[in-house]
Amino acid sequence: MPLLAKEDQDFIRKKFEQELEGDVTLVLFRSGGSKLTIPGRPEQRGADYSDETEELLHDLEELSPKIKVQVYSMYADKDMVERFQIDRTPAIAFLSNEKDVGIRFFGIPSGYEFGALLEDIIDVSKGKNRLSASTKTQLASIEKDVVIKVFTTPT
Amino acid sequence: MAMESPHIRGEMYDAAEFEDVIRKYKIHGVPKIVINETIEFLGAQPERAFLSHVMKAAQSPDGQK
Repeated sequence: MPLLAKEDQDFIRKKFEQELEGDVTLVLFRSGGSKLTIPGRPEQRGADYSDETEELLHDLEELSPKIKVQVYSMYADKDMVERFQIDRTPAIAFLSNEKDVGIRFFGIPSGYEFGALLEDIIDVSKGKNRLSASTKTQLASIEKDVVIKVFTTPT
Repeated sequence: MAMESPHIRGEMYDAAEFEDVIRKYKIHGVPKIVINETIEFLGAQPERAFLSHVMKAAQSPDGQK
């Protein structure tokens, strides 16, 4: 059963139709195994919201042919975990043209974060962001690694 | 900003799910923003203010708080 209500699905599908340009891949790192377990090999259910996050991302995947979802296990897919530098689950990374865009969501994106997720999907798909020209000029001068952490809680 | 520069990574945390994060970064009011573990501020800020925090973090030598 999808997590998103029918009205929300319709709204988001339409928004994606209107705004998405290039393909976007959402890479999910989860605890336990995938929701799609192989019979005879039951995976331990994750203690976090990995199941729900996986379901949410698959819901979004259904709403546009331009959205793809890849699911990796924190435990089994160590090379991917290291490549994306993931230290907690559930975690979502974004790929555009196979490139890591440098965006991460940790924890199930609900409330305000869900809106931010949708906006990020659209921005990444367009390859454009909403920054001013002068901001971009200043950012271009940065040579050091900068990690910006934004902490929210669902209201 | 993460999209704009390959040096920048943007991480969104649903703090409610991660006790260790609430404790480590002392999350009371949200949104709270922490850059390179050293620069902190609360609330959604206009782009210019946000940028000045990012540039400060990018310019400070490693290990300096």
